[in-house]
Amino acid sequence: MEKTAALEELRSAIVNCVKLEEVKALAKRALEIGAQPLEIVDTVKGALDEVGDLYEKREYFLMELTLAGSTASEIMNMIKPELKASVGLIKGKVVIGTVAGDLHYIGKDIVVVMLESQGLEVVDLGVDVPCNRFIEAVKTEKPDILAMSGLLTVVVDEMGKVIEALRNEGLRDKVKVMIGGRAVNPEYAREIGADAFGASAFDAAKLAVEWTGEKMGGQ
Amino acid sequence: MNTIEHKEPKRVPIFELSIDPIHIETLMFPERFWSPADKPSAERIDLLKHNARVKVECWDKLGFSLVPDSMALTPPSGWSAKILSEEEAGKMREETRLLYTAGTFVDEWGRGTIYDSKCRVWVQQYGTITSLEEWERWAEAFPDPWAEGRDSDAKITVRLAAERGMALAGVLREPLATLFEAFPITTYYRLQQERPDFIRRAVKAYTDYNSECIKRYGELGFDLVISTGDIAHRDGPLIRPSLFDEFFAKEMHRQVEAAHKADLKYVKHSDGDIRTLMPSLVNTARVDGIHSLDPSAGVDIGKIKEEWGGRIFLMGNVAVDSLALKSTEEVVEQTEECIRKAAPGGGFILCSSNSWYTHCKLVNCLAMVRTGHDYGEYPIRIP
Repeated sequence: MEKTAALEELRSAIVNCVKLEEVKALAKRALEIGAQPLEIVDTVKGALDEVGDLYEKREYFLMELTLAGSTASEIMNMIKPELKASVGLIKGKVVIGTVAGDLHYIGKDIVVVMLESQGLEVVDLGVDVPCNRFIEAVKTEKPDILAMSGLLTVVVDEMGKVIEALRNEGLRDKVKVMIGGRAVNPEYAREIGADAFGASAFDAAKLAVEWTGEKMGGQ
Repeated sequence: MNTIEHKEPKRVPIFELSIDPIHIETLMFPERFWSPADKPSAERIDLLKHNARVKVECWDKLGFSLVPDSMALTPPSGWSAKILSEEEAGKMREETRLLYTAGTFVDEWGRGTIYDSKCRVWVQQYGTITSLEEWERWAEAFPDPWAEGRDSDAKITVRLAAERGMALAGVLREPLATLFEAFPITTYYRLQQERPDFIRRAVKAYTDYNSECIKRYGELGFDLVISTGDIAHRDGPLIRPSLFDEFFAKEMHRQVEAAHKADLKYVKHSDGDIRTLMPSLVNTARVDGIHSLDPSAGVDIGKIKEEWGGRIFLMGNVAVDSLALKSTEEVVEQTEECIRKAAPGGGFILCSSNSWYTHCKLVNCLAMVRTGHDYGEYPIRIP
């Protein structure tokens, strides 16, 4: 099998949510017949882009989006050793958490899967994260992006509070801020001075990749 | 409760599936309302019995026509809570890369929950069954619907509701939600995709359990059952509608049949945008009613009434977000709108699009109820 066909088979398997072990075997096979690790990365990203488009068109659902993201993360982990020598697999770092007063995790976790699938390093602070913990993480982790999630309506004040604290600490221009979750919307993002609102997990990953300077989708 | 027979009652019935302890205590001062899930068996059952009384009195005080009870989700006598230790949580974090925390309470179904001390309720966290093999081990002692003590507080609810002429709603947990919550999400999705045989078997087991609970609710004199657990999120269904139809709606129909045999109506609850699942719910599962018709996810009760109102009754759809964030005037307007669109002809029970959770303004919740009382008299006369 030639390399191009192997990569195409890999792309198709991810898009069609084929069994994880089979997809991993296809990635391994592509490497064996000469595909470069970065070509695998591009193929995976291309597949995710396609899945994201299908999700936005409502032809795919949360299940396909999550499975494709999780499969992509597994492949990224699998080829990490081969990529170490290559030019930066990690394109950026994201600190993420559900804000104080809200213990909901599902939306955040799906965003984490999608971000990791894009080769971004994710520092997950968990749920019910107080303002000072976000600030501390921005200081110590020095992320490119701070992502805040929330389902309950109470979070709207908390997100604003974190952005205000970033300003007070002189950190606001050091990090891009995105917010997401059922409780918030683009207007609110503008109102509190966030850089963007991620309407879905795919949207959040796309934004993160744009911000960290890498196009999502590959060849 | 003529309304569930699609007849116009004297007035629109009003209901809430759940009210957070803080609001119940405000409404019922100086009574307390507990969240005793993690307490030892005897203490837990006593507190639940106390709660049953306070709940019925509270629902009655609010003028609600229907009171809920969660017998199917109440652990039996002798059941002890499992709480994750730091070591266990750490091991699970390492194995799954998910943020399990010490103190996570594992319920009878393998669902992990943590205590929200502000709202004083237990909130769903990661499922603690992390593989098919673990599920098999867990299922060796599958919960017994008839276990002693499961109905201890339900009996109190039934007696007190009967004294007040209130109808009764028995709460169940939907198999899809149970799977989604028992496993980490990705694990469930992976099993759904790769091991459909297992999913069928698990759904059948959960359905059998629910069907027996339905029988018990019937014996106790309940009027309807509400199958809780979301099957959708803000943007749409948790799984492809065709999969939902094949794996879940058909089994849900078995529960509907059990309900009808026990002379109960069967209601499916879900937050989120359920519109693409409506054909499965009505045509395949053949449910009698839908709760909670989430307007924040784009569900318009008027359109649902127009399309499906001849076959199902509707419960909802005053937005929880509005109860939390909007002005009282706006809540009154939304409530009037719900009544205007959904009440004519019967088949409508007024309630919020989920529950009165802690951050809802109580003044707004009460405005919803007052509007229901003021404008809910038949024939409906809201311009």
